[in-house]
Amino acid sequence: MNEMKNLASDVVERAKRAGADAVEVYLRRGVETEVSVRNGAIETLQQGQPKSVGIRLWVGERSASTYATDDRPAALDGLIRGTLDLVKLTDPVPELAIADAARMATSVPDLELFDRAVAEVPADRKIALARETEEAGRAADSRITVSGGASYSDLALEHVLANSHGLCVGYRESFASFGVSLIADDEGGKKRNGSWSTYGRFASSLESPQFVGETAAKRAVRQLGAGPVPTQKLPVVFDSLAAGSLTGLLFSVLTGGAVERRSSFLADLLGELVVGDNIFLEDNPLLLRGPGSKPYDGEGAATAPTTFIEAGRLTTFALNSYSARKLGMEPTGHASRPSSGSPGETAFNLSLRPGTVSQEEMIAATPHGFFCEGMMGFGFNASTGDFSRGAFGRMIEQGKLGAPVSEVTISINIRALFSTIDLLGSDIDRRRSVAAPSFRIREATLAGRG
Amino acid sequence: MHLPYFEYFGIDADLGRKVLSRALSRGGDHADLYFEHRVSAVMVLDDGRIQEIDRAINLGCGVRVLAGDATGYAYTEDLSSEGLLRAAETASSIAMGGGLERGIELHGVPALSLYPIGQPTFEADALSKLDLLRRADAAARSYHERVKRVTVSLAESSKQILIVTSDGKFVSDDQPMLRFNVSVVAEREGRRQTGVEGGGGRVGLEYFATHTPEHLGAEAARIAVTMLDAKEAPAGSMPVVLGHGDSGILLHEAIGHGLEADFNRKKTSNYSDHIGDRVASPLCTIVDDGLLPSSRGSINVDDEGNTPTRNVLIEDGILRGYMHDHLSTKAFHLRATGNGRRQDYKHVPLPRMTNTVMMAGQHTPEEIIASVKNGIFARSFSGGQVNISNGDFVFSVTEGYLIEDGKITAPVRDVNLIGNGPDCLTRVSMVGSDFMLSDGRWTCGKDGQSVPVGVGIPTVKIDAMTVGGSKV
Repeated sequence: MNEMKNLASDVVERAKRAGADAVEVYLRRGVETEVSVRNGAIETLQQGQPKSVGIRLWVGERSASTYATDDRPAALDGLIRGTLDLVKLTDPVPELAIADAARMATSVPDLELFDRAVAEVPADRKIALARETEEAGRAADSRITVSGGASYSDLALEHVLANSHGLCVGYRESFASFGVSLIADDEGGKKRNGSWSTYGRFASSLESPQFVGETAAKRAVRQLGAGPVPTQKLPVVFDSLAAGSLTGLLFSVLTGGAVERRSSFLADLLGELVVGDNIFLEDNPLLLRGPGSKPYDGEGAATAPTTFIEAGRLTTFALNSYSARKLGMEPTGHASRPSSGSPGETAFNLSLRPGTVSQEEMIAATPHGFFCEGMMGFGFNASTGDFSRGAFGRMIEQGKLGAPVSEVTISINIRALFSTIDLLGSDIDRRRSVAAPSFRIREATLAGRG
Repeated sequence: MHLPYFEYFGIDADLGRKVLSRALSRGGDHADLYFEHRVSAVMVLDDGRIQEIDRAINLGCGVRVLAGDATGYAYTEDLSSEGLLRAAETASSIAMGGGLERGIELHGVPALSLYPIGQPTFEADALSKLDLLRRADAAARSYHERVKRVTVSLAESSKQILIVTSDGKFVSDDQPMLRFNVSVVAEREGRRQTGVEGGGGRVGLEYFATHTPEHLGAEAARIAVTMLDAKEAPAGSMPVVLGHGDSGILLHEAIGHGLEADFNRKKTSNYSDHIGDRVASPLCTIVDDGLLPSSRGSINVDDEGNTPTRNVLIEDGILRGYMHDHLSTKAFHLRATGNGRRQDYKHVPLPRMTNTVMMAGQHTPEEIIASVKNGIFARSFSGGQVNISNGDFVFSVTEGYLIEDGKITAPVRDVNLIGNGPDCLTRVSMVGSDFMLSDGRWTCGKDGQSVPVGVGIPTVKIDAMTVGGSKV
């Protein structure tokens, strides 16, 4: 870490000497491994040590950026010169200036993002975890016919961010994950796949191979015999994973980028009641061991918990320096830092505040409806909020899960969706960076047969 | 062979042999090296100003060792001989047997030349490229008073690869790519819509002679303004007419992925063991063609050193073949099809599509539209996805219209189309004579790896497909 910090500070100084008025340098180095097995045999062993350097330079109100995988000193001088040449070609954009000095993080809180134990898992153990997961899945149900393979992967990263305000900060983080994909064969000749993975920053936070394998098997066999149902309007219960994906879409339309580009239907609705008054959309970047936690944002600003939607009211957008200046507002510390290019906005550990009802109670309270386990496709228009995606799951009849359903589409405007949630579950899983409980909406269109 | 970047690092046939020998020092059947140097740049004009210019340089090497069905893989950004030997050592750990001293004779592979470039974009004056952005911006703004925001980008890349394999291939390619994009937001009485248009391919600035920035800008604006009037789309099963060009995404999702041989080798695809079976209407002949000149999905050599082919997947409705990489070629005892592709040196190659197209048929597009009493005409799309195992696929229509009494009428709001691969293709009842290759804009994702692809199709009628509107 110290060597990286020295390098980053050195690049800032070199760029200033070369003529830059402001500089920001982002260094990233890591180690990643992945092992996969299929039918008990090793399929791949992969290893790499990714590294990169990203530099943004300003001369007056003009800026340009550069990214490279080669961070040797000789290469860096060339990068700086090349970037300064690009700066001359851009127009002055005062809103795109480096983040204000007063906003820079003054300390880097220890959020427990790095687990040494992850890096110390021996290769044999990783292979064994993948094998045990696959075996548990195959043994869980005799209807499982094929394994699509099981894998274990981990990643350790070191980040350093330095800029010409004198900022030079860094932190380490780790991730580990393993999972399996299984297939059950349908009488109709269709194959049904089910997969499940466990993720965590700490080795000790991962689910057991037994649980992961059994969950994947369950997800495969419960789709056996699935097919479309007649087109209809009906209440829909979204399982927590599907609810999380919808919650992510709701966040995407309140990012400063979407708002200042006027490509969001929420652009003019700050302070208004935009969804149901039971909706609280929150972000906590400082969650200990949180999957998306960050001690500072992509521009080096301190991060803090934020409530974007409070009792249905849009209280703030997620803003970086650029979008905040464009909109005449204050940044909220939600800058993302892509390896290459200028910042966007991100949530860190986004959550939809849970309610008190269990998923079982929610289903029991639904005489006729659709239980949506997952969705596929990209059908979402941020400008209008119109949502239309493929879905699979089960029918709910008389408060019980019934026939499996696939090859249908759910269609509803996302604002209407979040305005008509009448049951909010208690089953939130905060190990996901976008976490939501199951919920029920009053009505959506399910397009299927006929 | 002229390989300036790699020569700078002293990479030649001798070093290649040395690294391959180390990779096979513990045994294994095959090893390959994939060197990559990619320079890319993107220029963005937003809200009337040249706002961003970003450049990226990626340089590295991936070393792969195959031992039976198992793969050892390591990559490095350190191209010194020590760095490369270290990566080879890591990759070699997959093989447990003893290594044999073996001589590796390297030879060149006859090179295709599928992308003759008129004016390489990287050699062009930067100001002339910025002018293209400004021209598209001006055209979009002047299209209509309801146009409120215009964003234009030009992305260019030049990727030089060198592949050295233990079965003797020593082959390189320079792969250019251009991608131009215009995004427009139109607004009326608080209601907004976005329109997107663009394209490119393995082309230089000569692309803009036939695809003027003015046309692309105005087209994005037209879509945004038109869609302000979009009505609620119908829900349920009905005839769908797919416009020529971008609708080829249907082929990519409905059958393309399911015919990538890794899924069939593992028997996780709904097309596994179905070679020779009828899987589509007799009107359908579908080809994955890596040889189309200048197309976004074309390659002179695949990322395992094999020459791409015109690979017939479905002939008159009968399943003929899969798309292969080195591993699946061995498993199926077949010849390579040149479909082994990877995102970059950090990733192992997989069977991937190149340009997936359906051959033209007999009908005029007008006849096809006129044959539909009530249905949907789909023209532009934002993307698609497939479940390989059960064959269910979706794609999202961003510009679609109602067909009423044989005529295209009102635009409809964003709508998802869903179908099942083999089922959907058996319902193809009319195929147009107007084949068109999509302008180069599509990127395919698989196992976390993105590669550029092409799609192409004539106007096609599907008798029944589920349209995911909201109006019952």
